[in-house]
Amino acid sequence: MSKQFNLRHTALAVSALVGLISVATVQTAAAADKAKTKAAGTYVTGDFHNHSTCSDGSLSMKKLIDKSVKTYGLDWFVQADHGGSSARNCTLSEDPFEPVAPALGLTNSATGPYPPATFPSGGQPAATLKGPNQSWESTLPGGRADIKGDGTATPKAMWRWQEIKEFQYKVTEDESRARQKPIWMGVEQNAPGHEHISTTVLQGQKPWPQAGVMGNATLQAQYEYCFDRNDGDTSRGAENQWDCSVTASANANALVDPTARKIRGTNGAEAGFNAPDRGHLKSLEGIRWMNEKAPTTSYYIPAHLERAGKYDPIANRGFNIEHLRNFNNTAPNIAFGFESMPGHQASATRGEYRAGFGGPGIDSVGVGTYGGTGIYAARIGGVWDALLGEGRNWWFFASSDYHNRGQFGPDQRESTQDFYPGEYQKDYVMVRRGTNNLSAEGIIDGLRSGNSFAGSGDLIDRLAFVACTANPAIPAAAFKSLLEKAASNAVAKNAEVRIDGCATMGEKLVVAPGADLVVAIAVRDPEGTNNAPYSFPNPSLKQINISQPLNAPVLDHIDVIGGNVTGYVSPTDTSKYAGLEGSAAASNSSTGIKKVFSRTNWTVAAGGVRVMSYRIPAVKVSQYVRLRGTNLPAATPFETDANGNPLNDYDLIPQDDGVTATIPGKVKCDDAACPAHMRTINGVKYSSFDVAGWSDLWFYSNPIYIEVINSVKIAGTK
Amino acid sequence: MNLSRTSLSIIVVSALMTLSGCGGGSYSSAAAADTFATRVNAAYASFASVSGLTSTAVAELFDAKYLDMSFTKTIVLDALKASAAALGNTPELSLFPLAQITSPVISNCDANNVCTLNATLVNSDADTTSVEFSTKVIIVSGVIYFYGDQSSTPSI
Repeated sequence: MSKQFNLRHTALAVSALVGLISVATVQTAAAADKAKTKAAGTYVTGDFHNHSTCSDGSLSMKKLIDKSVKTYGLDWFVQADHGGSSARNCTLSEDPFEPVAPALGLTNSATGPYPPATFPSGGQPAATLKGPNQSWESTLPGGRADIKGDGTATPKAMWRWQEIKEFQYKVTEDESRARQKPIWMGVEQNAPGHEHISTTVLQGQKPWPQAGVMGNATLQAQYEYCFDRNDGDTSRGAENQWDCSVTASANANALVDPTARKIRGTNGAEAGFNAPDRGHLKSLEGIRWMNEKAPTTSYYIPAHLERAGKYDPIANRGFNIEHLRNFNNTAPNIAFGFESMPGHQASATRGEYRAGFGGPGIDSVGVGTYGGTGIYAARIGGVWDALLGEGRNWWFFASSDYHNRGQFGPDQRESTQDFYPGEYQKDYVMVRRGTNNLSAEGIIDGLRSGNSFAGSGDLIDRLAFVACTANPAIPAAAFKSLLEKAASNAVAKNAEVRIDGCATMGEKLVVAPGADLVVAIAVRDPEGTNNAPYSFPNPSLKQINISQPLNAPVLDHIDVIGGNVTGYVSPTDTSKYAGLEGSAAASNSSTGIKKVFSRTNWTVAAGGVRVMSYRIPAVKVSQYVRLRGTNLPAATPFETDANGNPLNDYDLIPQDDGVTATIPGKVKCDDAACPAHMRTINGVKYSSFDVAGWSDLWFYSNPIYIEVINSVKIAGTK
Repeated sequence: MNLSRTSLSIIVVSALMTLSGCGGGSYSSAAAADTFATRVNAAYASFASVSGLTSTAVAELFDAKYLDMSFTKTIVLDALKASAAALGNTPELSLFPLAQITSPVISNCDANNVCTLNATLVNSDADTTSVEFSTKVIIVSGVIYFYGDQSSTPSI
């Protein structure tokens, strides 16, 4: 597919969509809330994108939930399997499994829970009717007859809407209430025209702390029926008789199939139901549907959005910046961010990003991840900064995307594929309703607010990040000390700074032209060890003669990144609205590293807390600041460049999907304790799989906006 | 010196009867320190209104030679004036954080009556934040003024 063809179709798509995109949804600008009006809140950890055997995962729902909220202690969790259909019954209890040597952390004795009653991958024999790899057909009382829809395969697959509505939701709610944590249903949507989207339609679900009559996930199930690309059911959800049309969406409703009552088809050549950009249009319609049905309890967050490559109007692949803009324009209260720190961080090619992911010549955008983050957020001045440069509410999230542990069993600590939710990556989200009243609604509010940060490997576990207008009447050192103390206090409480004249992540500060600002930051680099099973020296740091146990990372530095805000780009301004990564439309040339903090200029406090601040003098234009931090110093070979930017992970690890042969890695893993499953080429063991992930840790904050009076209005947040 | 400043001086001088006097030496009047803190806090509290930002009471907190991390008295007053103008036109302006001073102690006065003020700065908007700080003050005709660190270089 030629670039010219793609761009032409993209432009056509944008042009066609202009009439459909409601720019009136841009929010009215307002200053950050007054401190006294903000309920006290807490940052809570969670994950919204992981899989069970009800799609292509390897575990039962119960085991996945147990690993997430018990073993790894997440405060909240969203079960989000792919849409479409599946034959396996994920509501069954787990198979005992066969450990793979050396089975770190497991008892491998004949008297332990494992041998002799274990089963290799695939689970117990079908005759046992046990385990989440058993089929719906073999385990439901009525067998095949209990599976709705018109499938003909044996075993018969169940549409995901039926799994969600009739089986998975009950397990989720039961687990939530029993564990007293918000756990609810979502769907990783196979997005028409694109790859995947993490979605939730919470309306109707009643996870803890709700009690009493059981809720339902009917709306979530309906969304899956209506808008998942792989849900080919045309029955309107059997007895549900769903209608997927959206009120006052005349153009799109005209495409609704009279039988299925949903838009059929996706991106493709003009044939049957498919047409160029048809899928993207259907995806936008799904956002409108959410906005109509559950405007405050839904979200729509593109997942691993660089992985499948650039957008193709006649295929279902990735996302260009114009699609993210379209999503956000359609409903900014629902489409408010992306998972640019993808899951699959222990896979052979980190995040599964690689050359040829989508077939010959179709590489992931950026080819690899960069320090575990996709190029859309990892490149300073790239896609994320372009969106922030418009003043959009577009936030950064991470997910684990758990499916399996590759060659290892689910209770082993090694992995050659995925990390469990909470094991490696976490989203830290402000919930104002407090720890005693943690709720799914409050968490979604927190996700939407942008008052969140994400990171890997427990590099940091607490952050207070605030920008304040300087009070000129208070001596500067005293004012600095006051704000640093406020940030330090906030970190001690796992909370935020609540002071008038200050704004935190996701908020904006409205200031007079020429005002000075003070940015104050406190982070906690947790003491002790993280979840890595390895205590040998980090092989990446070993290259520069730093000996640091892999399971005890130390925050090396924090970059304060800033850029200017120039306002929303109109969809009609095609050259600025639509373009590939690296294009003018997908760049913000004003963005750069404004300040670097490290042990040389931060203050170390008890408990691993680091406190720092700096002054931005005489602001003249609207702008934003955001943070990133890492355990790796600038100029760590094959990991970071001289400015501390993460380098392409695909170039670091051995990979064998090149043209002819396996290409060696760059960082040797030569410690005696380096595990046997590392890629070994010509007798040399290289940092790879989970070790490569544990070696290279990052966190990203969401931005604080600064709106200068008489400069550009920042419309996307308050 | 205008009338308000004269009145202020009389009040302050009466509180400074134990002052060792111009020409230096130790300065240990708790009452004088409290009086200064009261003036500061009244001025800071007045920032809640547009008029407070440009009041003479605020201007009278700063010595003419005030210099603190490159901020002169003129710069401070101009910044407050700009904030007042912006606040008047833009109600959503995020005015700067406010604070109060408690536990003031003035000590270490030198021959030029430049002393060290140690105090606690407190913000109680929602979660109370307090921090001890020190800065230079100067005593002129018995009246205490902020004097700043006399540094023309920003340190943060």
